[in-house]
Amino acid sequence: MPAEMPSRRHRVRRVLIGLGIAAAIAGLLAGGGVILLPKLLANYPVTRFETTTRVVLRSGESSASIEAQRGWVKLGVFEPPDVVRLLTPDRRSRSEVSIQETDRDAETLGLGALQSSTLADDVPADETGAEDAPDLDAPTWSDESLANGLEVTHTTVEGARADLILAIVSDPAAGSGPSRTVLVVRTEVPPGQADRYLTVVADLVMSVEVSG
Amino acid sequence: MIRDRTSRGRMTRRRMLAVVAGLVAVVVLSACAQYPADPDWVPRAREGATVELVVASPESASPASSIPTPTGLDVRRIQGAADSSITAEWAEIPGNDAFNGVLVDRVRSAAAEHAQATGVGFSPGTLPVAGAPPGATTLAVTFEIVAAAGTVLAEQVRVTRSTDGVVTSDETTVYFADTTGAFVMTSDAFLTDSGLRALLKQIVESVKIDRGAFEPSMQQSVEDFPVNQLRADFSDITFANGGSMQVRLPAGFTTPELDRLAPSPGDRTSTTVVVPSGAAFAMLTEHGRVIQDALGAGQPLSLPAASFRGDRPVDCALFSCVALTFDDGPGPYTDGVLDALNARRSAATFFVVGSSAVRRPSVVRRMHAEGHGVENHTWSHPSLTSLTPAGVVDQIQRTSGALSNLTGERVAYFRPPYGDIDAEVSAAAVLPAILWSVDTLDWQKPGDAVLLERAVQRVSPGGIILCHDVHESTARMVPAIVDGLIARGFTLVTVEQLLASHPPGPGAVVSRAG
Repeated sequence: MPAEMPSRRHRVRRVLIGLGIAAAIAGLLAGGGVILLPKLLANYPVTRFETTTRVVLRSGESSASIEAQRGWVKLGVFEPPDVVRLLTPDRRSRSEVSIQETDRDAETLGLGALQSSTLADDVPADETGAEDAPDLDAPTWSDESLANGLEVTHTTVEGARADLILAIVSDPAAGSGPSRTVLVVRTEVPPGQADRYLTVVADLVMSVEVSG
Repeated sequence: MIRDRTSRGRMTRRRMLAVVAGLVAVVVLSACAQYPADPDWVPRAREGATVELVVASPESASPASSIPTPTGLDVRRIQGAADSSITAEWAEIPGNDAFNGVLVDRVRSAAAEHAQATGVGFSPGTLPVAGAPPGATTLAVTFEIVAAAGTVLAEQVRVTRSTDGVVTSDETTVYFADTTGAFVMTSDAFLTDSGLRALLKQIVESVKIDRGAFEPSMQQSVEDFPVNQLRADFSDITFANGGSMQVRLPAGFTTPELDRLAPSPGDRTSTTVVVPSGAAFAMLTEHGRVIQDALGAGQPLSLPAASFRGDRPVDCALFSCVALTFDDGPGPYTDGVLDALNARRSAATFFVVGSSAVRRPSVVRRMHAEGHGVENHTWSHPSLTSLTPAGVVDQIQRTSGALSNLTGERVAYFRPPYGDIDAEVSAAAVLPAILWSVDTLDWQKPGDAVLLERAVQRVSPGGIILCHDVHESTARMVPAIVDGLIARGFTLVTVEQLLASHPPGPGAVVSRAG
């Protein structure tokens, strides 16, 4: 009997150590999951459109739609209905389209979207020269009235990691009052490729239909 | 038993972990493999601009590079006397009165406006023009030949007004002329109304593409733009070899639609639009198509034979006229003098001795045929004041008769040998006597440099210079003298041209104009 005592104590210690390690691993996994999982889910390709398809976005009672062309891929699992993320067939350009009810003007809205962009810390000014850093505080905006009646305000900001084309689209004919429905189309393209991918954004923007 | 249970439990957990890990790996890998990148897909190409936008430096005045002034054109220049601060230079087509008249009228109107603005009337001066005093307003008329082919010449005339060196107005007009005189027009007559609107649409759409617009098509109706405004905006036009049309847009050209777009990089203060030949043809009037056809073909410029300066009227109230005169010929060096004058499109007046004229009739005929003045210097070169009135009459009439026989024209003036003249001589001669304002004393053989200085530097507008074409040293220096006078801004004319505005009456004695 006395010979079994050390063995039992030894087993108990091993169990405790094992539980401790398991708890630590579980904690790490949980922590990592909280951080990584939403990003993983948001970028998870869920659908590739086999034909040109209209994708609907909803926010409260407002809705709008955009046209995703054949070959585009929709990203994101468990995405809210007011956002859609799309990937071009070459997987090099990623657009995030969101619907908003707002009473802010397009440039204010766009400035907010730019300043929350990851481009804000894209190019360290002290490394490349201040003039090379994307000017997120004072972008030059273009306003256009499109043939289909939509109004769009847009800008392009160049970055070292990606160029950003930001467009705020609204339909003056849809609704009235201080608050209106806008679509914010935020597209990242490979650096230096903004001109090349401009038609991608233009086609998305020109396909917008706002229903209220 | 206990050990067996523990071992089986471990194995079960391991299997479960392996299954979960495998599932995750499969899901992740399948997601990636499920929608691979399409290597053939490329973004839709942007719409091509229908016209090309060429951004030039703000200093550039011409839609196309100017070309060297073709040989055979007559470059004219005027400059105001000290206070009038005017310089003007343009190129005329010899003998094309319609075209030349348009250019001179443009210069005249600019000078008149300048005189009205400054309160200082224009009077001809010489070069170099004195620097303008502080606060002074200056007027400069310059030209560039922007195209020349076949029988079509395109000349850009730029009228610039400045105060204290700062440009206050800058007007450019491109004149198109048929060198044979068939037409003169400005480029604002090239485009039809529908062509102007089509051009506006193409320009707006090209600028939109250039500025990264999502919607390249012009949204505002072209009918919203008054045709007269478009004609003014698109008036600086020329054609390149091949027929493409080049339109320089006015500084700051824009439309409400373009105003809303962020400017593209680069200076847009001077933009030239290049419209391909076929598209341009559809926008052009009949006259415009004639111009396009001629300039597009790129044939060498065809100019009419140059007329002689002495054969064309010269306004000596505008040009700085000077009369270079030669006495005592014709002689063995006179042909060389004529050659030098003609090579420089300059006129002179020859006061010929009657007895020499009949010995060299061909030279006298040549003088007349080449537009120079052929006037009376007596039959045998006596001092007329030493003759009786009948002797004076004989000297004058015999010579005038001989010269009229040679040239077919009546002699208008005489010059008394040695300048010897009095009331009796004047009364007997009847013809107005022409003396001089600058005597080069070339017969004294003063040396080339002194002769050049006397002939070129001592004369002022309206002056009459006395030389003798019977001296080799004078004849040799005529090219340098004429070049020197031209460099000082003078136009060399005959005495008759010099005095055309106030012709002297019978018996008058004149030593300079005015």
